[in-house]
Amino acid sequence: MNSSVIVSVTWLQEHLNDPNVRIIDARVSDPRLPMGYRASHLPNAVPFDLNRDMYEMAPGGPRIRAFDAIAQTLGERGITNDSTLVLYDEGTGPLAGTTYWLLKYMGHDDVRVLNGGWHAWQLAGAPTTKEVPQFSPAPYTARVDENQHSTAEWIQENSARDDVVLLDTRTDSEYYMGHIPNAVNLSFDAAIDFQTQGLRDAQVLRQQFETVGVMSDKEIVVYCGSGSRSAHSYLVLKSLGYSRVRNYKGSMMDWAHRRGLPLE
Amino acid sequence: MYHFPCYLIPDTYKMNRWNPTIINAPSDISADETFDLKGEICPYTFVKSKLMLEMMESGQILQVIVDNDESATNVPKSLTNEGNTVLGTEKINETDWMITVRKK
Repeated sequence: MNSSVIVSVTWLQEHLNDPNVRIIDARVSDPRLPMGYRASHLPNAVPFDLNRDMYEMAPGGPRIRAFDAIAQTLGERGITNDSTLVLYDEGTGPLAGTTYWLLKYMGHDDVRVLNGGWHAWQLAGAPTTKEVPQFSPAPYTARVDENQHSTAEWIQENSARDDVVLLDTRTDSEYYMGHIPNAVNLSFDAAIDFQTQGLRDAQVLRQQFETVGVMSDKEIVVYCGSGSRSAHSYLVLKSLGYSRVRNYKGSMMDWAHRRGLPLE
Repeated sequence: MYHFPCYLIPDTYKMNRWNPTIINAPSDISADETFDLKGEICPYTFVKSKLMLEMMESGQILQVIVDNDESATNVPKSLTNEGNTVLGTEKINETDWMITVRKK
């Protein structure tokens, strides 16, 4: 499966030395654990730790850092607005999904995800390294695209439209405990092949979405508990060519704690 | 469909999302490893706890410290789902929680 969104190990091997390609390691990394970026990574990959590079702690919970600050982080790692970015997670998981969504939200044009992630790369015997690449800092400008994002207000104003579908990507038990009215349910991990840790075949994925009424001609709003699992579904929908998809980053953590919003 | 303000969200919902279930760990427990995950959020708190457990032997005890209610709710639940035994989920000061878990 190679596309403008999902790329294979073979594709990335062929583009490892392409000067316009920047590889981003979005895996969990912690100096106290013998794994993650510090232990080993793809050649020329730079780290992006959502926990520190995307979020900051604030009263009431974590929030997304200022876009200018995130843009500065990206620029310091040699990324420009014109770079072709290829992300990888352990598999094709929520961390890749969240990073993908964040970069699309920041208006980055060419973002792709390695199908099967680190797991597939290692299985293929492709090269890895501990060497940290040195890229010259580059200017990076956030061009925030609010069409990739939803808020509770946007849902309230638009959910009655015929062409809007709300997709709850939590487990069915979470969904039945309470969800946004009229949302349909498909757990994010239905898209993952647990043997390969990559995405299932595109035809299977499309059928899964269409079975619950998530059609490509609609505007889709995805949400979950706090916007990470839904970011994964955002990635999957984008990989299938759905053109209008918004991630409700606040998700149930935001919706359920606001005064007066309905639950079903 | 039910319309209600946030303070009327069903207890089942609130309990299962952001209200950690307090369990006092036995006082004679001694941890084999302690993992400070303050400043970290879900899913990192769960993923890192799981990775740390993978480095430990079956039956060993890990104590994880987190500083937000979401993690104190979800980490014990997720570690239990993975087959481990959560021995304690205790609030140790104004903000922090200590989760004590025995590896399966």
